[in-house]
Amino acid sequence: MKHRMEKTLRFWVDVACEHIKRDHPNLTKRQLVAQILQQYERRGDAMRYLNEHGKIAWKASPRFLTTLADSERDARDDLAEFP
Amino acid sequence: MTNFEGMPSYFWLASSRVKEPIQDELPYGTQALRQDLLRVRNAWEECQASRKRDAIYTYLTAVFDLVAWWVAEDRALEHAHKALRLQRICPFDGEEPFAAIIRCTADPTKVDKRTRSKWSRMMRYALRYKSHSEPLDQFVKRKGGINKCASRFAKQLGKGPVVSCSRRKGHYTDL
Repeated sequence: MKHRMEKTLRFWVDVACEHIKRDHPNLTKRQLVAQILQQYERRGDAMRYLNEHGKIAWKASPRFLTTLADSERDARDDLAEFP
Repeated sequence: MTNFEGMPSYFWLASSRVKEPIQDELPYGTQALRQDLLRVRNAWEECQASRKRDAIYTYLTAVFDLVAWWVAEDRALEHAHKALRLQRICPFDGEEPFAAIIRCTADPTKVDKRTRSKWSRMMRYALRYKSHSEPLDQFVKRKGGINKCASRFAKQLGKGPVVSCSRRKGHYTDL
């Protein structure tokens, strides 16, 4: 079964997947994604929900979205401090 | 546009080593359940801190969304009772999932048994008749409000109309 994900979460899961795939050459992408989703869910960054088609899907949690927004703002501020 | 280059390594992944056997199905463990309950409790705090009239829908939507996917997985009762046990609350006989999650996430001094029952009936009505794409608050308002939805659900079960209610200051006894 395919892991359905909304856009923001998919981006970060793909990033994480690229990051760890070298350490796990025997695992398929699907298996890596499953592992990442599970870690994200346990620490409260990803959550399951029913999408508009009534299928169980995954999305970034409100906490994760807030953290992303904070980091984006910090990065922008840091950039603005450069002459 | 998001500047991902500036993001801390936190976002990449906490651990690059897979320590557990890989499964195809993703189990929903205790820690994941705790996180879900924490999110619903945060929604409760948020709606309590808000002065907006419709703030309660933030909380009701959080409860509804959580139980809805449990129902889709056909494990709602199991997860809801586990949630109660995690809070060291004993499940009532026949306590259904929406009521159980309200009991372990909302302040019991503000949400009494009758309100819990009414919200639970409203959500069971929405679960049955709402399309997946329509937000809960829109659906409920379109159907005449929380009381009306609860009443419709009760009528379907042949229990007759539900007592009409009014909101008391600071409490949801009769929203």
